[in-house]
Amino acid sequence: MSGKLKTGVPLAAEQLCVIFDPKVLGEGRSAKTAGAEGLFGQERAFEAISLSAKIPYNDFNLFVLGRPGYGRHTAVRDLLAKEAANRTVASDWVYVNNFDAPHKPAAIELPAGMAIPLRNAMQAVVDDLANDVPAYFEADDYQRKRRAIEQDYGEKHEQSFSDLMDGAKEKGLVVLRTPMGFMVAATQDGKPLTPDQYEALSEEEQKDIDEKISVTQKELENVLKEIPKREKDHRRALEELNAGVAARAVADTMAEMTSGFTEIEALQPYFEAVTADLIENAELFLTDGTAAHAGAFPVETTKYYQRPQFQRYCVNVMICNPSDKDAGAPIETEDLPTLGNLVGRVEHKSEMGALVTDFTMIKPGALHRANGGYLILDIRHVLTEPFAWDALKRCLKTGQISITSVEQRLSLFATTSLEPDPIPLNLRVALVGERLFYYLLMEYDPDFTDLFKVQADFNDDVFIDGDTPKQLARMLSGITGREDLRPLQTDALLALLTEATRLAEDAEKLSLNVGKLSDIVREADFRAGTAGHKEIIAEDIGSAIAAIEDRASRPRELTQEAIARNMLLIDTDGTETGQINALSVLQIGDFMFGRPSRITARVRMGKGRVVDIEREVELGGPLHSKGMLILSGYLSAHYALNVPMSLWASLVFEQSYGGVDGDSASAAELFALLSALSERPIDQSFAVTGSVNQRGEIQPIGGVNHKIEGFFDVCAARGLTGRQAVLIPDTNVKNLALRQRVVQAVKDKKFNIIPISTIDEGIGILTGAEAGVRGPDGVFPESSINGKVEARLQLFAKQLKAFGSRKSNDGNAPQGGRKKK
Amino acid sequence: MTEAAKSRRIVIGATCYADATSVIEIGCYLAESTKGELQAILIEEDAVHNLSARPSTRVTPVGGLSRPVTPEAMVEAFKRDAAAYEKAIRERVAKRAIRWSFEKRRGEFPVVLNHDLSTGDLIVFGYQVLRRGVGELLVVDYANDMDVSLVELAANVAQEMHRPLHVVLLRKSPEAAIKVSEHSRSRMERLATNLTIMDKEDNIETLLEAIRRGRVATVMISAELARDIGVGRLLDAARCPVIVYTS
Repeated sequence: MSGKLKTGVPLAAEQLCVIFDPKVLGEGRSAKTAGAEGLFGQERAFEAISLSAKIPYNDFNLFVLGRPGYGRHTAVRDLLAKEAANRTVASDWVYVNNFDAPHKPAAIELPAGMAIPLRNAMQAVVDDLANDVPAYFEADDYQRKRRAIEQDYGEKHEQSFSDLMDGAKEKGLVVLRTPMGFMVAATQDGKPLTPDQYEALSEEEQKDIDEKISVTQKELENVLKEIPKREKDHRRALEELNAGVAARAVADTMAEMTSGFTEIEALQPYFEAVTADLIENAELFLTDGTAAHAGAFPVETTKYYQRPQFQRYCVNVMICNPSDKDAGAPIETEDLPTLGNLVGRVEHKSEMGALVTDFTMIKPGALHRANGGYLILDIRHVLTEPFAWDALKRCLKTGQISITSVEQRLSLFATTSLEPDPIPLNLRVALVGERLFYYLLMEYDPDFTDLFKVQADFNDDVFIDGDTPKQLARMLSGITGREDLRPLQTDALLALLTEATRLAEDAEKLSLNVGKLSDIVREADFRAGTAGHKEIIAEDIGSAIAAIEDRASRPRELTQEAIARNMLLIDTDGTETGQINALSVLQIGDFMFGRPSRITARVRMGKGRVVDIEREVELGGPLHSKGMLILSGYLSAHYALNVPMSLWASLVFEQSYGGVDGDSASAAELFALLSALSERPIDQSFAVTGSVNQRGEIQPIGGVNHKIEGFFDVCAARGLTGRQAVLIPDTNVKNLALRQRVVQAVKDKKFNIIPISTIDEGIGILTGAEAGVRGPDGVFPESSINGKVEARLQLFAKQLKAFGSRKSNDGNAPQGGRKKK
Repeated sequence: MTEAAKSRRIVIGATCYADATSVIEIGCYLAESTKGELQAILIEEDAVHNLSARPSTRVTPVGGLSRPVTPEAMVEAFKRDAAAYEKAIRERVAKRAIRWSFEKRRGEFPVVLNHDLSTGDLIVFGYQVLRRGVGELLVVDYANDMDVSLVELAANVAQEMHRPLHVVLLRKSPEAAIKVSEHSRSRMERLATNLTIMDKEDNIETLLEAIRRGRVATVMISAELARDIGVGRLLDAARCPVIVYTS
């Protein structure tokens, strides 16, 4: 495809599609390359990823932008994994009970690999104490001391009360026990005095009794006043004894356990708190009734730590990394980045109709797992999960992971919840997404640029030069090696390279759409297997591509069918004035196909207006309208320069009901208009695509391959005549990567692709007449298309002038007449 | 099944709820283990009502803060204690196969509990113990033809209360011979932590003094000896629950 392109003549078959020489493949392409190694052409993006992975400063988080299927996820994961392998292994994190404020669980950082041993050790402590503490308290030594204390306090009570009772008895009194307390009463014959007996006494005797009662009452008050105080002292003494015994039991067990963690300073305050709490609550180990419910297993094997009363001593392992120092930093992905999956969550359980929780129900999120390493997220998923983006930004901004729930954010319900210590965050986040997201976030989220300072923009394609075909071939061979597919034969690889140009829509480029190419290879491998091929051959690739297209081609078939049945009116032979086949592209999902559309133009005298019917009915988009205005500009500046533009023209996409946009039909519209003005018919064997500028130059358009194939298929269905052709902008020739059926038809001279560079060139081909150039006298040749157009426009101007004079001579009668009405 | 076992009643009585709490558990245990019927009684002593009517009378609860009392307040207090007593019994027997009843009686404690008793009945006199955690279960009886089954029952109660069992046998008179068969003696020695047979010169007063000075958590006594001592005197000396066994 080298050399200067000759316009206005059909292209040769070899200009329609890139055919690679097997030499471009070189040697050694069957290596089992994987990950980023297997990708190429993304050096700029790879460098950005490496920078983000290595740079030690905050907020150099990464946004990987590009189209799906170009290996973004694979490359990011692979490159970050390489960097992660060189970094130190991340710390472990655990949540433990905060004995001073249980609703604020404490987070503790541990060296890698220590979290699970700590959890196991604490479980062992509980199990050991559940067996040991009762033994300590049942020991003779403890029982003896306890009896001594109780005896001591009991005797003090007893002695004082006994003395009081004896004293009362000596005075002839008795102490009665009543529901309201103690009463002192005088006695006669050992029984309390009745009212009659009391009344029968002399006043002096009554006074004497009353005095004795009063004194004894005082003594009783003093004795009873001492009881609560003695009870308290007694309780304290017992508590001290219990604490002493418990301390001994706990100290022995904790000393054994903590010996494995002496070097971890962060744990020492926790161990002290645990020890104090175990001593203070040693009765937990005495009152659980373990033996009675031990079941078939010996009590010693019971897992006491699972019981609710011992949850307070559990260790909730949030993250436990490998203890191997060479394990590297973590690299995590989260495919469902809900708020909870991202920042962790506090779970609840239902107890007696209420939702309760504790620190053991804190669950880690992706940020916890990736802390100290890398986290890869798909931005689309993050943005579509409520509060996830906000939470991610907040964590990155504050440098710590704070657990909040959707319910808390929305104040949906109030229930017992926790405020766990935030965990310091040190990680690099890599967001992967399409360019649209990147630019929208840049535009609308002021935090985004601060937090994601590195962009890795993936190329869509690479130029075919140097080693790029070889590298692509190597990458595709790598897929077969990695996935244990059949090897790709050389022809198959060459077919894939050709397909890569097709995907790039550029004969000078190779698409880097690894996803699509891989899918073709996999399907080709399946077809090769079905056909009994030991290798994937070119036919397998071809049938895979055809099958992929065929599966998606129902809409295309419906269109073709409508044309074949004359439901959509398209002529592919004969001539018509003011009528042309334009080409458009429809995209449904990721499937694109071209189809011809009839454009017709009608002209008459008017006031210099070209009516775009699509725009009038609001079916035309802004780009289409722009094309129409450029077209008008071309007419105004090119023809009948000495008279006012006195044209009224209408242009329409026939049978178009779904809207038109883009300017790729503007050249076709201009051709139709010129045909209508010159009254020279256009050969309907042609179809045209291309936009036009005000100077009449044909400009490149997109989707040229699909457009050509769309017209070719219509022609092929009706029978190729050898005259049928598509006129394309000459600048689009380098985009040609046509399917073999078109290439073969061109080779067989049954179909043509003709590049054009100007309107004059195109109208000449379409009408079979010379376009014509102005002579030295400034006039187009009379028989040329341009000459006829100009003559027609001047005629319109003349007619308009004559029409204006007639109206003027009529003295505005019609207007006056209307006024009369 | 003997006639006595069929009709055995376990009567637990107290003059206030505080005293009743000292015997509810023992009463339930006795009723359950002997398949007897538990009869709980709150006794409203006439003397207490009489004293409440006197303006100068004051009551002193634990804590030593004396205050005047009125008959109405005392009636209300008895009602409250009765309700608490009944509720406590109901809760204790809820998961046990025990027939039970509750009533309030007016009269003189402990005399009022002695009505309508039959052979084999047990009367438990409530008395809240101020001493805590120490003391033994003391079984006292005359040392002649004593019923060893009383000791057997006491041994079970002692085990339930986690108390040592001390059996004390007293001669009916200085001249009375000790009539305890070798078999009975050896059984008692096996069941009890201590077995004491008092000397010839020891009498009821000596026994009461020993009880007063000893560390007794509960006294279990035969009806005959209890009658001779007087339950009131025994309660004054022991200041703990007393179980009287009628045989």
